[in-house]
Amino acid sequence: MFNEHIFDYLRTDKLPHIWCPGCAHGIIVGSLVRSIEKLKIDKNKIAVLSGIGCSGRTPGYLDMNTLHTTHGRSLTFATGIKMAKPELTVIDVMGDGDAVAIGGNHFIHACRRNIDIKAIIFNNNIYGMTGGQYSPTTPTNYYASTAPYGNVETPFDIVKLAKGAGASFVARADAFHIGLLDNVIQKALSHKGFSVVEVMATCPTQFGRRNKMKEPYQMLDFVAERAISLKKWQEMSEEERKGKFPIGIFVDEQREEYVETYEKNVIERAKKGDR
Amino acid sequence: MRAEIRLAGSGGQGIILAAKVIAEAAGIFSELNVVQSQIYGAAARGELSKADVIIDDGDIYTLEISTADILLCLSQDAYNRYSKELKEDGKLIIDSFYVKNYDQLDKRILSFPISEMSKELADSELFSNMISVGILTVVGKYFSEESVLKSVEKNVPKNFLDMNIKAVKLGFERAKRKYPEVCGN
Amino acid sequence: MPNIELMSGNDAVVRAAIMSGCKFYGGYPITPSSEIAEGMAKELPKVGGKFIQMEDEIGGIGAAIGASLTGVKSMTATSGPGFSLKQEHIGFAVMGEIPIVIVNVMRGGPSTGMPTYPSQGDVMQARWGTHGDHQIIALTPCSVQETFKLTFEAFNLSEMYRTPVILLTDEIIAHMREKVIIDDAKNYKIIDRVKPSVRREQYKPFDSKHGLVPPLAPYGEGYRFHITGLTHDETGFPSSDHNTVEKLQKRLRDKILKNRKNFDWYEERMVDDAEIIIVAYGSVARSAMRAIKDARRENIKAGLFRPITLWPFNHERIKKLSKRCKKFLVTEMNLGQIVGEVEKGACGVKTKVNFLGRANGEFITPTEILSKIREVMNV
Repeated sequence: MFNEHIFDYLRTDKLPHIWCPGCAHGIIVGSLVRSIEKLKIDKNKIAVLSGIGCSGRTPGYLDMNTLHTTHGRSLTFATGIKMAKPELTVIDVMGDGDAVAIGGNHFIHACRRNIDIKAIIFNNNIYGMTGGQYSPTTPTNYYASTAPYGNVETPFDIVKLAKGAGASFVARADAFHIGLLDNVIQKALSHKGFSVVEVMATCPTQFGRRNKMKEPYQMLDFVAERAISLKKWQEMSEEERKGKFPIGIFVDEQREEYVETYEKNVIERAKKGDR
Repeated sequence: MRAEIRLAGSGGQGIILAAKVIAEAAGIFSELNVVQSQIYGAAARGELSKADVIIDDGDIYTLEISTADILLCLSQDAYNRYSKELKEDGKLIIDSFYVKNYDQLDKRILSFPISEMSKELADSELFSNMISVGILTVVGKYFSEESVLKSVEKNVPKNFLDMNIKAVKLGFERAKRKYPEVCGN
Repeated sequence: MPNIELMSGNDAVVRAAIMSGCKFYGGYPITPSSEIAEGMAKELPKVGGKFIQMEDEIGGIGAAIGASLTGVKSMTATSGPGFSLKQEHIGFAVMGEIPIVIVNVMRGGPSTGMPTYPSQGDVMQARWGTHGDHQIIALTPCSVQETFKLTFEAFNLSEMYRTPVILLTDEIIAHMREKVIIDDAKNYKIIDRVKPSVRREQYKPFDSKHGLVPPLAPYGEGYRFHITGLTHDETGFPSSDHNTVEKLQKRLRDKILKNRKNFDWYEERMVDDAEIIIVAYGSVARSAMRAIKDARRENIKAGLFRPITLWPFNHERIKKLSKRCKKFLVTEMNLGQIVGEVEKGACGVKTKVNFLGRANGEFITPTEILSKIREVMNV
């Protein structure tokens, strides 16, 4: 159902966006804005950050406190913002290159600290803006401009990575199953602690064209057909799981949040001279 | 007046604290200028440890010691490494328990069984550094006994203050008794 | 009542940062700057500030820039290899005009180099380390007392001009203890960030109507603006329109260069009748002070020019001095960095620029400088 209140959260004068026709990034941003609107979060109290690449342009369209940072390092800026002003809801939008290539180290450490930042990863399995080079999530044997003979690397499973590194909320959704996408983004926004939402996105221009899916619907099908609900996934055999991925919520735990813990365990003790 | 003091020994002998006590006795409690530096990262037990204190009644421009006016060596290693870098009219204070091989003819050497004194005082070698501070104070006479006692009070943990003060005073007394011509008033 | 304390250069940074109102430190441990991180970890929470040891150097400065955007004074500290890693984010702070103080305790390099030995090898890196044309402010102290003072100035300048400021110390100044006179906090000039005067909906983060330094609003107070590392227009949104970019680049340059007179600090000793002027900064300047005194005793008319603000470099002052003296002797703990700037300043004059420097971790002593003075003056 279309909700005109979402315009309150957009910088409509910055539209139309720069993304290619058929790109799924707009779908994810739409879901994010709907979720913020639904939760009635004060836009003055939201900071949205991004790294570099197509996803990096997201904050520019959002009427909030926005910061388009350096490639892969947005989580470090987000950490400083959250620590210095904990009352802000801090949302960090990253691409797959940002989150698990150049910024992989920041990502796992933010998970470990459980700092209250919402990390939304737009995973389109490719470096789109720079011309279709393979990323750490490009599936094996798929083509990219730097993998002209097919990708020989094994991709990261971002959900497993986040889970292993200690994030307290981890979910995966995709650009086709919008109900689930809205649901997990809202849960992530409401969760206290480091929240990871990996969204399987599409890039018809750079990924699709090189992999026989140049029409946007083909790319969306590619995502939709591989996305399996977690419940169903658990009933599938290893053979059936091949080439597919589970979607749903994988971790949802209440754990001590970093900034709160710092305030309680460090600032209070320091002020009392308790050392 | 410029005085270059070098304290050397093994990591764990409290060389750095001794240097700090001397530096503050001169700089804070005697209104002299002071520059104190040390070998960085020699905290591990047993490694050669060195700290320098430069005292001056004017501005200090030369930040490094070339040859010391007073050199304290609490270990044989320290003696071997630094004893050559002493002024002709300088004084070399050694702990005779640890420094066995030294130039017996060198008139600049003042020898004390510092770690033995510490053991007699407190059944531990922990106070060798403060005994050394006491000796050094009366050998150098750059600052008063009173200012060094104030500096000790400021720099050592409260629960060990009494014993540290005793150690410094033991240093004063023993030095004056053994080398009255150098350490007398 | 002023208090006199014995402290190291690194301790002095911590004390002055806290007194300046710094409330955030993001960093990563590295010799010989780690005592600053340790001191901030201890002192910041006492004043309600926050410290974080990030997963790497890049993260340390990233967190500090993020914190600064919420309106708090922020800093990071590092040394050599860490300074190399931080360069991209220094550029981000330049482009986004985000106040931040970066302390770099110089040690021997390149690469891991000599972690516990002094150097002045990062002088050009401080100037040009991040890519692209930009201006930077770098201050360099020659004593612990001056480290204390310049830390205040670094915070003030970063807030006044919305810019990263680099405090360039060296291993000697950082680790030696000296007496520092510490006055009551109220007796220090502390400059806080100017808040925007316009209504929230009219606010533009890079609006040149407000002069060369537009006010920076804090995140979370209703201004809702955008900052990017891309070239941008006055609203902060990306632009590659050549005229817009030209205007931005010029303002970024002018806000530093046209305000330079406000922080153009240097010290001169006995230059009036000097035939040879020693140019030295940081710890080496201490040796130079001794050397010129000793030279005077030998009837060599020597003087000292000590830049305190290293960047932007004061070429004009060198030009003036060059008309007065016969020779310059630049001495620094590197293989020749500031000497090039002195040559630039003395360009077109007959005054010869001589050089004494090395990068082997050994300090340059007064005796060496004096011998070089004798050699240069043919006595």
